Amino acid sequence: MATITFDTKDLVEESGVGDLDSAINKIGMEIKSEEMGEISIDITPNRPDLLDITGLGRALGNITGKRIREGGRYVVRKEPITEVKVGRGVKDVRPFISAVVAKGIDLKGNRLRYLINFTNKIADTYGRRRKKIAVGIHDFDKIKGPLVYDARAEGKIIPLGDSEEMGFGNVMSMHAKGREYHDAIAMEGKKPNRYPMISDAEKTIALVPIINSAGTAVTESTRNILVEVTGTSEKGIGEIADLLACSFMDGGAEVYPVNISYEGRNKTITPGLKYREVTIRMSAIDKTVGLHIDGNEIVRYANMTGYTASKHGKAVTLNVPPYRTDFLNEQDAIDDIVMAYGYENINPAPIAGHSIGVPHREMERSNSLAEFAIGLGFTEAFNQYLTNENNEFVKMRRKYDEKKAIRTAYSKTESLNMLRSSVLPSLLQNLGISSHEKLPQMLFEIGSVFSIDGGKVSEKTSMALVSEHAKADFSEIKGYVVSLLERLEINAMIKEHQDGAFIEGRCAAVVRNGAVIGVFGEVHPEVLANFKLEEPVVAGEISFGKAGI
Amino acid sequence: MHEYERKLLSVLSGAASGNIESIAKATSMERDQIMWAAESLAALGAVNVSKSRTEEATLTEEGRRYLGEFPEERVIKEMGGKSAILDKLDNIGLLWAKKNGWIAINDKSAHATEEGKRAASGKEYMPRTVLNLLDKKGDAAGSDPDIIETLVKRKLVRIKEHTIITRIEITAAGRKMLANDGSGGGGIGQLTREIITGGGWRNSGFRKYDVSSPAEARYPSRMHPMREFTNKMRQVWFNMGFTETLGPMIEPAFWSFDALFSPQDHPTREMQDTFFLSNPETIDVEDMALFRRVKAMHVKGGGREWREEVAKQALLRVHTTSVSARSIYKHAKEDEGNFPMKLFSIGRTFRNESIDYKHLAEFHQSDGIVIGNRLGISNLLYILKSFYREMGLDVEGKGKLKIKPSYFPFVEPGLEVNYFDENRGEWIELCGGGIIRKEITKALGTNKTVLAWGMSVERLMFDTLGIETLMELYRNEVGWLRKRKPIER
Repeated sequence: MATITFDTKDLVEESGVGDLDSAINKIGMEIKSEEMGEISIDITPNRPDLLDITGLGRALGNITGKRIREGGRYVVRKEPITEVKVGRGVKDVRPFISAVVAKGIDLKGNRLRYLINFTNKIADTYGRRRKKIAVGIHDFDKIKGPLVYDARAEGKIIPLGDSEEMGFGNVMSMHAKGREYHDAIAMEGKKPNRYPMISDAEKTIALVPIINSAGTAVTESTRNILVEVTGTSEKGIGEIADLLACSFMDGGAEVYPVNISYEGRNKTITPGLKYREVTIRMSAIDKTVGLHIDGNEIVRYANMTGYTASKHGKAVTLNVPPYRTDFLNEQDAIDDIVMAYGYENINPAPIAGHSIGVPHREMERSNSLAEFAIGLGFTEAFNQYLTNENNEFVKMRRKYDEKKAIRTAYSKTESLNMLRSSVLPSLLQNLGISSHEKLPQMLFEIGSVFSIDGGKVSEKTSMALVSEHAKADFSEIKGYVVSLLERLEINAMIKEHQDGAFIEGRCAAVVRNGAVIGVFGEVHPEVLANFKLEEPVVAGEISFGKAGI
Repeated sequence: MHEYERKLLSVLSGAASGNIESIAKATSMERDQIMWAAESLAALGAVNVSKSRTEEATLTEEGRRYLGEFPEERVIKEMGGKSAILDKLDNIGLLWAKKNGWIAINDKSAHATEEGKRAASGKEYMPRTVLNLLDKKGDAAGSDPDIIETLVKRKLVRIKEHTIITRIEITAAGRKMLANDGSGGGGIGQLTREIITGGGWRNSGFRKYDVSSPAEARYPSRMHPMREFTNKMRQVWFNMGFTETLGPMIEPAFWSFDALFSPQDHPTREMQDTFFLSNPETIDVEDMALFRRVKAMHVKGGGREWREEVAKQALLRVHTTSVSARSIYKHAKEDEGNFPMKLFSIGRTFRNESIDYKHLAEFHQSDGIVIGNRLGISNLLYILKSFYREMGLDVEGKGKLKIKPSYFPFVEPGLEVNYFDENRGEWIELCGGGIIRKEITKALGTNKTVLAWGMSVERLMFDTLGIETLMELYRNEVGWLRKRKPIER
């Protein structure tokens, strides 16, 4: 989800829509905040075209019928206005480029800011922080064509906003943008082997995808611009060029195509601006919605979401405008038609037929065990499954076997890097933060525990009990365990056992068919101290497979 | 005489007077037992009790975060005594900086006043000084009551009034009572087996207790609210004819993403902030034919690049929709199931978030599907509306529910249900849903239509429990577990 901000009055003017709240809701987006004359809108990732004030204004104008813009009018000038020669150097780093030239564009007021925000958001989200796709905007009149897109071992550029020339290497290590987007062209912490860059006949105009040159900087009074889109996905750079071209045309500019000649390949011309056509049976729409919609109405709803549409017999044919980079097939068109029809106009209808809802065995067992524990005076806890080595093993005086632990590759929270293999540490922690409460404190939890067992992931259900009070002793916990085994109808032996978490000689294992399925005893005083507990605690835990999964 | 009263008088007869701590030590009685006995004896004139009233101050979670710096201090410091654009500044900080007269606002900028400049240069900020004092002492006495009132209003501090007994002193009457105890002077205190079986009570009456003296409330052992609430949800689904399903939490990316048409290289995948695993690094998908069909869905159906290794990456599921995907696959094989088939699932999901007082990396979700032939959006709306009505939300009132289009990679059309929460005065998102894309159902092996939806669980309980964050729900502080509000009223 990306958030984009405009002056409210600009969006009202662009769209012709006064009631922005309901129109924005109607196209499935959301106002995040609206204050002090500014409106921020959350845009879902499938619609990069709406990150732009022109694109968003177009969608809002269409859906409300305030300012209908037909989808079939995006045509560029015939002759390419300039050329980009692509060298072999970029092949392994960032092979593709597209470019668009717009003449007579209006960047006054907030327009320039909006265009920069738009391209930055695209590069951040759709372009995966510039790695997959990045966009650069240049003053076309300051470019001495043709352009060359290639990669070099070193070079120099006057970074946008500066006046001194800098070496590429220095930009990467010292300039804020160089550091921010370093990962887009090199491994973290490594120097790039080669730098993708764009130059014209005289100078470097961009160190791609890091920063542009001050020499082609765009200002509010710039009228003619060249926009280049570079990246690792040929489909992606083509789509973004289309999307930008549509936006410029809707903004009143004239758009010229650019020749892209890859060394050793045929020329291509961008933007492509291809229209797609889809034909939908009207009955398919009725079925999706669950009620009948008239054919003429369908054409109207298609227009309201930017398609040109025509009806013939029992089907409608839609022309899909080039800015719809998300469009795959007729389902996407039906979605738009339902959107225009309005969910508020669809009456809920029950499903015919009778069915019986059946609970899952695992949940039934869990509920039954919870009732058992509560009857014994235990109160239930629900703890997080993510934990760390310290809580899970060190504090428990248990050995950490990293081969058995389910570990996360990367966690934003340092203290959460593995899944628990036992419930007990969580419960001891719960007692630890409750020391001011009246004793006895008795807690239980029934939840999942995780490990790697015989090379396979194992998710088991585990039940743990803890009891803290001045007279807690081995026989108390043994009493609970015996009763629990009886309840579970588990035939098991109770044997002396060693577990660092318990006092030696006051710890036992529950053994079934030769396998230890549970352990209980008096918690070791060092463990108690680790969890800041000052009274005796007895504890037990039994694991069993998940029922019926 | 009651056992507690006797114990108290005995210890006092030796020491003449004492505070609760010393008495507790000498008698091994609990605090509340001593207090009960003292009040009861005081009513009889056997002891004199001195009391004092205190105000105990505790910091809220938010208050604790303010100990180092208040947001208004941060704002004024960030401004560095100059001006700044409003939308770059923290809202709460702005509000209070303005109230303090530190800034003036015009146009879209904030300007530091003289007072503000003094604050920015590190002048002592009294609310923070008082807050720190309260944190250390836990006692509000002696601090500026206006500042305390403001801190309470800002929900940084909670004040509880306590009456505590500071001293208990035995009187002459008390000594006499103790001397007479056992000879039946005051009537029967604690009823005993001997008195009951021996019938001794027939001759001597019962001493009256002071029924107004305090007794500590006793709390039951209980289930966790999460169980209480999920059981309520489950019951509603059963009543609506839905059968319960469960699935694994550790999955290959395949079930969380690929089978649901989420592109391997697309913001949606990162949007989820997934916990990928380093042990195990990959998990295989056993049905190779299924694996190939899903690959074709992405490559041919979506025109995308798709790599097998990426689909095998092990992760912690980001939603319970993976359980729905598994169910569609499982039941696609059955030609003669009981269709339309209605299924739901409630389970734990994981998001790789930076955790703080408000956000946790784990929470619960509930997903549901209906697999059948003639199913449309109107049916989906009926199910969702019925469910929330049965859960006790007022969904029938005008303007209570808002259904709007939304985007999820696996449904088309996709929608979102919002509910107007009267208490908060704002819309909250209840769930998202739609019709599963045909590419997906086909790859999973069925030609049937599948309605699907997913919802967050905890959020629905917050108001009922009077809490605002997930952290409160999963801290498991024993006092809260014992005394929390019930889900059902």
